Amino acid sequence: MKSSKLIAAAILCSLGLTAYGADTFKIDPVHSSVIFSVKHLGVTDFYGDFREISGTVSFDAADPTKSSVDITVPVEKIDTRNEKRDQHLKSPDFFNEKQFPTLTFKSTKVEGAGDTYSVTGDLTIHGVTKPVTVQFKKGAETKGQQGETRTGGEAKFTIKRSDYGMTFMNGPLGDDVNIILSLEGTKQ
Amino acid sequence: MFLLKQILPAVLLAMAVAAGVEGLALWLGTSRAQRALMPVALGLGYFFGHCLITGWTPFPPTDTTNWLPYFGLAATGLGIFWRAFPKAAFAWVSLGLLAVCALRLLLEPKFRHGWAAGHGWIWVIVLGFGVALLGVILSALVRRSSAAIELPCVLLTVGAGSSGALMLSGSFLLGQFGAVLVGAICGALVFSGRGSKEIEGIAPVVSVLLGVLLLSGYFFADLPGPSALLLAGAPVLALIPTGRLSVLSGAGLRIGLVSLPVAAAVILAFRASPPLYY
Repeated sequence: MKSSKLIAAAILCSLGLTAYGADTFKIDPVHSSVIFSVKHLGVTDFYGDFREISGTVSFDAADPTKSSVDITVPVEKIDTRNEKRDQHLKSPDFFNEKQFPTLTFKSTKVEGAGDTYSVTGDLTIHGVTKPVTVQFKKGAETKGQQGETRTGGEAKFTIKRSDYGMTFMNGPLGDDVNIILSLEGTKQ
Repeated sequence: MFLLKQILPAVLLAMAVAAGVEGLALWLGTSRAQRALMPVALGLGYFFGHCLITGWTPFPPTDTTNWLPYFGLAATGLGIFWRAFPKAAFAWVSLGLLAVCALRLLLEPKFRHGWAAGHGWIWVIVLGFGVALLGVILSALVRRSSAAIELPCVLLTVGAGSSGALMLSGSFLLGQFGAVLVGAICGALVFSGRGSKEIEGIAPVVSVLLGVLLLSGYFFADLPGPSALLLAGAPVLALIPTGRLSVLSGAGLRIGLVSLPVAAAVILAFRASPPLYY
């Protein structure tokens, strides 16, 4: 009698988790982007991106505060459409790729509802971790070609590279770095 | 022009601080004060020049290259008591230990992202021995330099060559640190011409800073290994006896000999360098 009650409780718990727990989405690197722009000589912005991104987004529609984001971007995959510049950006003058091979973002707090969420987390660049808060605009949830569930969203925010210890050529190269983080993930 | 503006303030600050400390040593007048303050001039000069470039970074530094000013200060401490060590071997062992500790901190990212612990420690111990050997060579050079101008010329040739090779290695920042070291050497030795006893304390400071800078270029930028070896080994040519030549001619010949591997190192770095102009 006692064991059947336990089994029934376990089944109910697992059903509850399926219905109300957070959904985990694995970031799809093919349909996700990290784009940045920096002012050059005060004239105009040049753009670059990272050709790879990985991580997971755990999204709880019922209670968004239980959601979380964990993203890793390899510095090696930086691409500004100029090989020499990419090489220089990987050097100790900027990202120092050999010492700090990845950029990471780990959320600490998620708030909001509907389509707009405020995501606060620790952004680590060049070995320096700083808290940032970004406004994340959620996209639609739909089925992909393989029948998988997909969703995503986009955040636009600005950081100061000097906050992360990247002070080289501050002046000719702007201190403000505008970032567009566009994520699409498949439900696991 | 921009690059010059970027380099000059830190170099001038390093030079001014080092020369200021040396001026104080001269004003104090005693040989003991001069002996103690020579490594302080170099270590402090480098410390302030480096910090002007990077800004005040949190301690412990996340970018391990920013340990350099602290390594300079630690080597300064060693330089002050250099002659107090009863036996030369003890002095070299202490320099070797300092170099090993410094390299373990500098190369922490290699331990974190690739090296197995045993493999890494072999690198650190071998390279630490190399830095101590550079200290032995520099110390012998300080004692043997026959002309007052010889030691500054040798150190400035190697320092300037290192700075140039580091800039060519794809990191302008490391090249700037090299230039700051040159500035600090200039400032510290501006009043040189005194006896070797007064300036012997610079050997550990120069060997640690130069060695660590070259290794930063090799491990974290694209400084070719042969370039780093040529630059670190160049001072040994200043120990070659020049026979019956006059003091000045002998010094000139030895400085010329030192400049050969330095030039070769810069050429190698240039040939391997990623073009930075884009």
